[in-house]
Amino acid sequence: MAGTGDVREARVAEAQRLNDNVIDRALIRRWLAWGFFWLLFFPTLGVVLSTKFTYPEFLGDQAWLTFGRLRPIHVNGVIWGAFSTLFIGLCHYIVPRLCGVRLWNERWSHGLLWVWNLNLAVAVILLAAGFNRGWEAGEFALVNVIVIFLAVLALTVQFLVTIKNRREAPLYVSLWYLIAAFIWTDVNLVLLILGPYNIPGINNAAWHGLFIHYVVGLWITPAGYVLIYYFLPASVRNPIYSHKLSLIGFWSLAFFYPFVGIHHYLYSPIADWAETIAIVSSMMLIIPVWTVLQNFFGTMLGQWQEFGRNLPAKFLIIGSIMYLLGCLQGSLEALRALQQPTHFTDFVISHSHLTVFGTFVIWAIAGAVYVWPRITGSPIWSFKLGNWGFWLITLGISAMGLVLSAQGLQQGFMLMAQSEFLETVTAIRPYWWVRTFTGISMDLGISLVVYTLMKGSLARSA
Amino acid sequence: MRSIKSLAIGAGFFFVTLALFVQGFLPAMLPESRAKHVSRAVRTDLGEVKWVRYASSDYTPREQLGRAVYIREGCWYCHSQYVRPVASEELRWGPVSEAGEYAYDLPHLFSTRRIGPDLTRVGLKYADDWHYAHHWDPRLVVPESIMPSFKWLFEQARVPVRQGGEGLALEATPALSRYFTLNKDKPVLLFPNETGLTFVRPHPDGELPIDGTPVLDLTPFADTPPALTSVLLVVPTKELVSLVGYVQKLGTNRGAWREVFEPQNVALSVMGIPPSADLVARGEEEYAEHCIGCHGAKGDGNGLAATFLFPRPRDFTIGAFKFRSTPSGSLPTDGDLFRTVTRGVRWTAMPTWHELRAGRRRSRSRRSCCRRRRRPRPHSSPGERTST
Repeated sequence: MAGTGDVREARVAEAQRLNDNVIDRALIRRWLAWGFFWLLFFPTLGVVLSTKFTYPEFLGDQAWLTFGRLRPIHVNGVIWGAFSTLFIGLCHYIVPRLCGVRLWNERWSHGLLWVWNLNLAVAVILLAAGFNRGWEAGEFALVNVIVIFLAVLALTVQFLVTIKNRREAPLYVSLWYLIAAFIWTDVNLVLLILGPYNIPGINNAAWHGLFIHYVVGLWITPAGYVLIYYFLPASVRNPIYSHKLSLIGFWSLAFFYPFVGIHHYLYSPIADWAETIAIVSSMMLIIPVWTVLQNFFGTMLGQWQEFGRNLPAKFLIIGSIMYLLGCLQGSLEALRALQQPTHFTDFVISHSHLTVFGTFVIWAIAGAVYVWPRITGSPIWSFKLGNWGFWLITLGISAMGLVLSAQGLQQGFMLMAQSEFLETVTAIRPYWWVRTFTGISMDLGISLVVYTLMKGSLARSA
Repeated sequence: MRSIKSLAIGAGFFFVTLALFVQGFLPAMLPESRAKHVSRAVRTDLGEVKWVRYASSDYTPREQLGRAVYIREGCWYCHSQYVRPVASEELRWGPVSEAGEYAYDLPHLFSTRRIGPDLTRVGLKYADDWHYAHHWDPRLVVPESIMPSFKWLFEQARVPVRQGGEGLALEATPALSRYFTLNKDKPVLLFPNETGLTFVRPHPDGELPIDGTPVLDLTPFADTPPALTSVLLVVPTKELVSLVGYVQKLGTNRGAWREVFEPQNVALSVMGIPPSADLVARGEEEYAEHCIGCHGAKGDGNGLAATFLFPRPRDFTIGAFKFRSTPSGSLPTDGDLFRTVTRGVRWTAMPTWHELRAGRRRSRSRRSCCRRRRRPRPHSSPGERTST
């Protein structure tokens, strides 16, 4: 048996050597470095925003620093800046390695790096200046949306052609999601370009509901799956638990997710049957969520010791637990009965933070922590510091999830009991105070992780 | 899976196209989703209020500009625009939303979060003046508010004042001649508050300058006028005037619905509220939470927000009330006060307080009576002071 083990090890080493030659290290490093910058910048705006709940005049003298201007920067920034930049950077690592070939056109990606990030910087400035298109989670000025659309389209071509050139016929799960995510998002960005200017009235709201959930369901979610399906088996050195579950997870997501959007506007004048379809598919999302999670926890079988000593695995597993909680909350709050008290309250905000940050940004951090030492050739500077970062992030997001859920339920039930509106706002103010500290904890944690990674690579290059 | 094609076409296109059809195109093809009619409460010639089918109206260019400001400043992140048929929302905000009310909304502004109240039915609940005060500093009119102030939607100029022959006179600074034509024949009365903040009512279309010469009026302070060396003139910009115009339009397609809005309907009554010390103490709290900004800590109508309001807030210390079932010159019944607090006074800055529980409204009515009785003051001539 020892003999076969040696052969296996040798083959793994050979494959790794080959695979190390197909990636463009400088390209990945630059994408991730920009990703780290946005990761430090956009979530921090959330702390500024939540401070304004407690101190309404905080940074309130300048128009561009007010709540109404900063909120879209925070939301769009976390989606397109912090998460997507890291994700795209990590795709440049994952795709060549899974296909065993270099990217189809590396020069494109070097160029797109600047297009993507400068566009984000311009988008932030324009949002601060008040150019807002009025579709939540799609507020960027038209010019910025068009640049994002062209960039995603170019990346779609880049990755599809690379995948077509692959050495092995079977496609790994990560690539299924990657192909789907990019094509879905090309479609969705067309919707974003046209949506705010066409189809007035309640139908505009229905279309917006579809758009907003395609951003989270057909971009962030499959993108996150690309990352964890690659980095979890890679970091704990175990194969994926079940191919069948991968298939069920993928096709159930592809089938149910496109229908859920209108659950953002239940009890509105939008047709009841359309709302009901959205609710049913929201509940059905439990199928893809639980199957992929079973796949992830199954992959950990026999390797749970890695959770203690392996930083990427820690982030991936905590992200999965947040996903279980956040998505159960999301499915349940789509039910009409629960929607009565919780809609319009911070219960929904709890859900969006648990999933977008608690799951997907954390998975992206995990991928970056895995990849960065490998492309810079320098180990993590301090595991201890990184571990502190991990726990600050974990405590922060857990506490935020709890506080916002409690706050939402309290306000919702107070309103249902016919309390005066202002009275309900006054009642939940203490929660907002705590929320600010949970945000500071998350920001501090992110800073420690980024610092540890940077310190490692800078120490080496010095 | 081995085929890029099955992934791209099957997952990427087929299901999404199906969903876009079922959830996007199909609902939009229903005629009722594109309705341009609403049910509207109309008072008939016989005096009764009836619900009729009515064509909803588009926004005027000025309201469209206001709507653009509403989007730009992100008002919609904290204020929703639809009343749901659940959670007793129709008793809090007004009639449940109908599709036709949104016929001219592009993009839609439903919103997903209520950090502040829903605005579907806010039109005409407050006067324009109240909105100007509220945008200058929300805590002037709602002490517990967490809304940001929108001071950059005002033109502001600090203008020194000097003691002239007939009271205070404004120095003729460049700002003054930019805001006013300084037409000597047309005095424009300005009422500074005790901090010197002085609201200048804009021209209805928001354009400057305003025709007339500004004159400071400190008579509301009676015997104790504040010693001012300068005043801060604040004029709403065209953008704010348009924004308020847009807000006032919201919900008005539904007509005179407030006439049949149950929580607001209080019949005339001679109800007496027992003057218990407990109730008065509670009234004091309610007063501090809701009334103090306009009516002032002393109840004399000199709250910090009063500079924005015309007619000026009621001075309770005089003991003169307009809305009462009792003979002219006498005090109103507690029931009269309760009714005014509940219904508000249309075309003034006094909003409806139906949302407060009846007990709280009662304690406030009782409290304004107490103010009156505790601080008797000689009645000044009505012409000097216009109040509701």
